[in-house]
Amino acid sequence: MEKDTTQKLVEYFRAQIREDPDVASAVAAIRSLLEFLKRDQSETILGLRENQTKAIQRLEETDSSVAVSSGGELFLRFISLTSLEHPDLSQCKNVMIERGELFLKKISLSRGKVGKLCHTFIKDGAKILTHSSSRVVLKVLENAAADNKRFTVYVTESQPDSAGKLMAQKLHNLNIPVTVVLDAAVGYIMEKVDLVIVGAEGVVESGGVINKIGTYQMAVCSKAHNKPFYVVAESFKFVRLYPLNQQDVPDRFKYKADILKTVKDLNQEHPMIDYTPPSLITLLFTDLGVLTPSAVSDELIKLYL
Amino acid sequence: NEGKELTKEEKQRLRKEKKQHKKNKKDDKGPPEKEKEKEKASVPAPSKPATQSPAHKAPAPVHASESAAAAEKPAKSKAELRAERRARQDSERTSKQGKKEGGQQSASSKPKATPNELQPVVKRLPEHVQVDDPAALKKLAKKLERQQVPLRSDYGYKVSLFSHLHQYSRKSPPTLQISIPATVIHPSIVRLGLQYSQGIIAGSNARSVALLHTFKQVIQDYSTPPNEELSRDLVNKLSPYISFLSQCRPLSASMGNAIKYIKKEISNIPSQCKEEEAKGKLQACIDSYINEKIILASEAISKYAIEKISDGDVILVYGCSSLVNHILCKAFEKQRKFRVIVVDSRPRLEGREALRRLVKKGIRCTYVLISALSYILPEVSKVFLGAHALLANGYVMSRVGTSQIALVAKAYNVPVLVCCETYKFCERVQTDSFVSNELDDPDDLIVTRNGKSHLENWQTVKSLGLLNLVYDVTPPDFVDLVITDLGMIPCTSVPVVLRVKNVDQ
Repeated sequence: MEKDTTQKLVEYFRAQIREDPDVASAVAAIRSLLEFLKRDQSETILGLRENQTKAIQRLEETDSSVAVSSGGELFLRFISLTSLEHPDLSQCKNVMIERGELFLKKISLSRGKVGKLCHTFIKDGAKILTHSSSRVVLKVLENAAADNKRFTVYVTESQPDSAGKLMAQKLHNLNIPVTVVLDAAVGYIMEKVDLVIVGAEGVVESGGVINKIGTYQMAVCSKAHNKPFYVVAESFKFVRLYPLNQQDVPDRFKYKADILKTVKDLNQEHPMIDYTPPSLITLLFTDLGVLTPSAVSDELIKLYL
Repeated sequence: NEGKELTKEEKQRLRKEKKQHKKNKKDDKGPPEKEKEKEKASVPAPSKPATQSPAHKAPAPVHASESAAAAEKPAKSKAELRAERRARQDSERTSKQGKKEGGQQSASSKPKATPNELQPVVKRLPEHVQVDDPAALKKLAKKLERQQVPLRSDYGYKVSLFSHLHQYSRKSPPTLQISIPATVIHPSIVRLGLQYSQGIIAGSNARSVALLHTFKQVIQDYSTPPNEELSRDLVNKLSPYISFLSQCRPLSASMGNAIKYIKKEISNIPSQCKEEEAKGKLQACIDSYINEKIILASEAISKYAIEKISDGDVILVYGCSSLVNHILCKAFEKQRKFRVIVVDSRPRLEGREALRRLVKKGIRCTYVLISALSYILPEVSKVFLGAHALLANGYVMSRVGTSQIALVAKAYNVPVLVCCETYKFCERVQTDSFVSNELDDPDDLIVTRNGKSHLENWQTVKSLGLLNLVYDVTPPDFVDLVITDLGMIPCTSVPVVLRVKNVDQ
């Protein structure tokens, strides 16, 4: 694989994220893949697919989040699972590019759909707890505020990158009363809040979610206090993993991409994500609808088979 | 169509005449029960109570659904035939109402004689869970008498909670009551029945494979009588065999699915097909079923399961599941480092067989009885369980003791993985282990130690009952993952798989 084309791909991906910080990393990845497909010079459909697979791998090395991996795979399946019987390669390629554009358009709209679905679950006067910085949760809260609902938000600091403070700033700009709490204060604050809403980096086959470290803790606390625990995620984050416990999550998702490349002994590193089992989740809000954790498997079977 | 003396229409006319003749005979005797049957999932469909002497060899359309599905089109339209039948039933029902004594209180619980349009599928309770209902027993006895299959009598005092199930003694298999040479039952079926009742062939996969091989033999020896169609007659021939086998030992869910598949294949044989060709086709179907659903499925399941086995694992298994043993052997071949704890229970002590197989491979094993379960569980990292059947509401039906293991594993937060092929998925719904189960020979519980058998005279003590259950159901909350040949699914997704499978068919 030519070094400079992959290099261009990575640069394009990074440029996308730089230009539009609000875009989901998976959407940026899919845009890059589509651009890559357009510029691809292969002569056969198999060659196109192979190049796409390699490109996805290359992007995973750049940004090791679960969403990039799942989004990439779904993109590939979506564009190639059509009838590609045209004798002319350029025609096939055009069909694939068309499908790719369609897929991209669908998923760009998915965050809006989720926001519309979820904001009705926020009642007037509600106290919401959220974890770290999630653009989908921000959209949901934005929609609820636009609906003239009054609510307060507690955000955890979410070390080691203090992403919670960023979220607090954004909410402050929307004129929503927000308080930043320590990660260790989740148990303390749980009795005050009415519901918990978190985003997800990936939704797994069992109906559980993979999200920033600290989510599992919050889920266990909310279960102990009988507070509803809602997860908001777009459908391209559905991934074909089935972890049984925290250890079962593959290492390539747990740590940041650069750490995976440089560090030898991963036991000394701190993982960036954790796995929340489906028994702790009340509902999942996706652009496919409001799902219970057991329905996720149903949707996954439909998406992937 | 060469070689057939009568044309299709003439045969249908003959059939209708015979039916009319039978109906007239029945009206004279007084109708016993007239019900509308449909095929059931686990128990072979009973035939209509219309008397059918073997000498008659009438290809009476046994199942309403089958006649509708038959390849030939009747002279009248199907709707008209159905209307005719319904009119006949209504008239018989009104005449029966007058004679009814009201002796069957369970009649209301059984959805009988429901018209076609109201319910597309009418499910009746299988007879093997209605042993305490005298009407059902009478019906069964009559059916077996007609099929010339011996009726097996229950043995010993039954615990009251389970009095609706059969309890047979191993010392009196139904094969003792069959004359030699057996005229109605094929000898290989007799042998299979004996092997089942004595426990020589045990285990869900083994029983299904043995059944399919025996059916291959039966099909080989079968020859179509003149003026008959292979697709109808062979199915009728199989019914007494299935009744006999269920007398020897109640059929398992996997066997039920296999029988449904075979019956479907047989009835789909086109009428123009020559006998040898049809037989060859059926043999090939059975072979491919065994290959796909059992052998290849276990390969696929092993592939998924091996991903879940990591180095340093301590795996707990219960009893002897052929699939779980296969997975562990394959994982060991792939150089995974793990050790196994085999949990066993009386009276079957199947764990010893599993232990033997694993140790032969070279896997490090520990052996405990189920009473030591909570002692050993803190060491365990994963639990692998086999299944007898997976029910539509996500419950796992397996050897008795499995739900106990799942419960204790859940309490210790140890992941529980169930491995099950898709052909064992069953459309039944069950929430407890009482409704449908199997009672094994109670004499198995008698222990002889130091020459003394304490429970030897248990029958003389009036208040003593021995209960030897075979199966129990595990709720889906205790099961973390189900590994099937379609992939890894949560326990609650079983109905999705059933739906996908039905769409395929």
